[in-house]
Amino acid sequence: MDRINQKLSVLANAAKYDVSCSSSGSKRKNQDKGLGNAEGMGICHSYTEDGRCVSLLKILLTNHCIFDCAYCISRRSNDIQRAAFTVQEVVDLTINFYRRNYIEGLFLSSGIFKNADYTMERLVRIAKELRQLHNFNGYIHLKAIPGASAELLTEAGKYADRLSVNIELPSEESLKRVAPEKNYEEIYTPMNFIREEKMRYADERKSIKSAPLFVPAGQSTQLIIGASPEHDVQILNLADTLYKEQKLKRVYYSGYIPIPTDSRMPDLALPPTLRENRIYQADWLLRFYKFSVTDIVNELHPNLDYDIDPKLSYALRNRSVFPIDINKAEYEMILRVPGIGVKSAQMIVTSRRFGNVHFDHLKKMGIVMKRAQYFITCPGAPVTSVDTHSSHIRQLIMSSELRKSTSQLTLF
Amino acid sequence: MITYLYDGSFEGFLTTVFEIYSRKKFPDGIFSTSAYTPFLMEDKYEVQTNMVLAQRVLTGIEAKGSKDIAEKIYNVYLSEHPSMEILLLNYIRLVLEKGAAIEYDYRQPEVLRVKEINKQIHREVHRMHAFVRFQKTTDDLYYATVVPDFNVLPLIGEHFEKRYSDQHWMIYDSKRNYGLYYDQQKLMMVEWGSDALPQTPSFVPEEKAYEALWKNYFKSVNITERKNVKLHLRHMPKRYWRYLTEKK
Repeated sequence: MDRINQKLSVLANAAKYDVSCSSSGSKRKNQDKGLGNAEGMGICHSYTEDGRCVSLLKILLTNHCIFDCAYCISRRSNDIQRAAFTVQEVVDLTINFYRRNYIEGLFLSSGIFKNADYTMERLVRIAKELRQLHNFNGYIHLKAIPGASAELLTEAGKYADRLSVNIELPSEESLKRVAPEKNYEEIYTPMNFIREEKMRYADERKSIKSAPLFVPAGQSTQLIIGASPEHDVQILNLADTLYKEQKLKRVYYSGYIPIPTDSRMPDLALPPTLRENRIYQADWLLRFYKFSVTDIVNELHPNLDYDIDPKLSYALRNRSVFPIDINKAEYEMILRVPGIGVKSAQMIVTSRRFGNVHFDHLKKMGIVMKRAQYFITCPGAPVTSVDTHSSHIRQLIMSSELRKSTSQLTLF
Repeated sequence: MITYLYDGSFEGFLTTVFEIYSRKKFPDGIFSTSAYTPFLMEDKYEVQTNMVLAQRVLTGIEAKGSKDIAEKIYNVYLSEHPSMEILLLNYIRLVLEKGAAIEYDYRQPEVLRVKEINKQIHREVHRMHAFVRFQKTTDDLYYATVVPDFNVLPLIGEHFEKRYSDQHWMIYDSKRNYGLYYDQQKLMMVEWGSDALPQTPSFVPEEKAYEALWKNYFKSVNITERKNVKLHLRHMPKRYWRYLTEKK
């Protein structure tokens, strides 16, 4: 066990820079009284002291790597301790952690040893063993290794709930600068292949219900923030394309954590967590609030305003759209009001069918009136709020939130 | 002042609702006998739980309202909030008067409150799904103790049954002194001391090793440069730590 413990330290530590933790969105049921299921909502079983969710056993199979990507702690030129799990060790850890309700499943990635196919074959073998030998129906997320053969990717898709290929640097130019052995084409090839296969299997399932699942929780990727010169507008446009054209389920953003001793990377004192948080908020606006990228960032404003959240920033730049009438406005417009989230917007829309919704009702429903009051009209609302100047609103909201907390970051 | 007393069970509460309607005397207080302290000037009525009457009330709520509304009412009952009986009575009146649609008129204080309590219940259920930590006993039983904020055990069995259908497991609420037990065939409610259960569980030798591995994993995935204790505590409040292997 000591040896396993040591491997686990090295290979969990090396995997932690991949921020994806989701275990949701799959459709895998428990079959034949087997072990586990991966249906619907994912579960965060724990949270580390950095506040991040622990949902999956996230490890590398090995941190030996033939590549030398400057952003990666496992790059071959980095002088670190190396380790490798056997197939059996990963299977045992997964099953035993799962049975104790520590995890939702396995997220297995790896450094590239020998070549892409050799590495991918090992990852697939572990997933296959879990599914076939142990009737394990929990969540499995595998890395799709760029350059791996179509056969291996197809097999991976049959066992995994999610596959991901990380783009890492938000432009090809930046990627080539820090990872000379990589290019966008190699990354997009498996991504496209998996997208096409998933669509093919989904079509098949429409006519044959028993057709196998193929990557039921879809694909995701990761972009590193703050290690290269791209503006937020480039990052968000890239994300938007990935959602719309590549049909990705999630784009993760990872504030660059300075890994010392590679001159190709910027020397940051701290990871840019505030910028990362604002980008996540913008990502939420794209996915759940029906915003377009140009609403949030554009040529005039290529970067997000890091002092305030992007929804408030939009509202202050577009005062002509506001105030909106809570009792008449379209749902989409209510969603655009700072201080009103998706759930509150739905509560407003269902309640107003019964009669007028008043200012006091909104307060009680949990809407953040300190923000919303400047952008809405409804019976009982203070009349002066909507005439307040944008710069003054900004100041009022910022100072009230600064008083509350300086380090607490939330989504809206 | 009119007071109704019932035995604390959900069926007892529903029977109380029936009695209130048939006597047409709306109460100032409804209490379970265990939570009751007598007042001086009161018109006290003790309700005998009656399964048939309780079912009639439930059927009525589902017919005039909906299954979803009945579920929300049950969840509020499980919350053990001190004044939940009166809240539920007023909510039921509203539903019987106005029909199922009222569930979504959040301008009504009772509707909003029922929704809020349901949200708390769902969060607690989710936390139990997340924070239960099984330990394997020498009888091949995966055993966990919990102390949930609300009485949510009746709401979490199905999740664990689906997930761990090939193992024996038990989740015991040590505050309310009962547990869920699954024997790979069916799910049961059990009380400490029944014959089927080990009195003091002893764990398999490898249990310590897996706990150590899990603690090690938990430590290794943390990114120290991003330390954010406030966020950590918001997601994992301290009162849950006592059953979290990685925080012990």
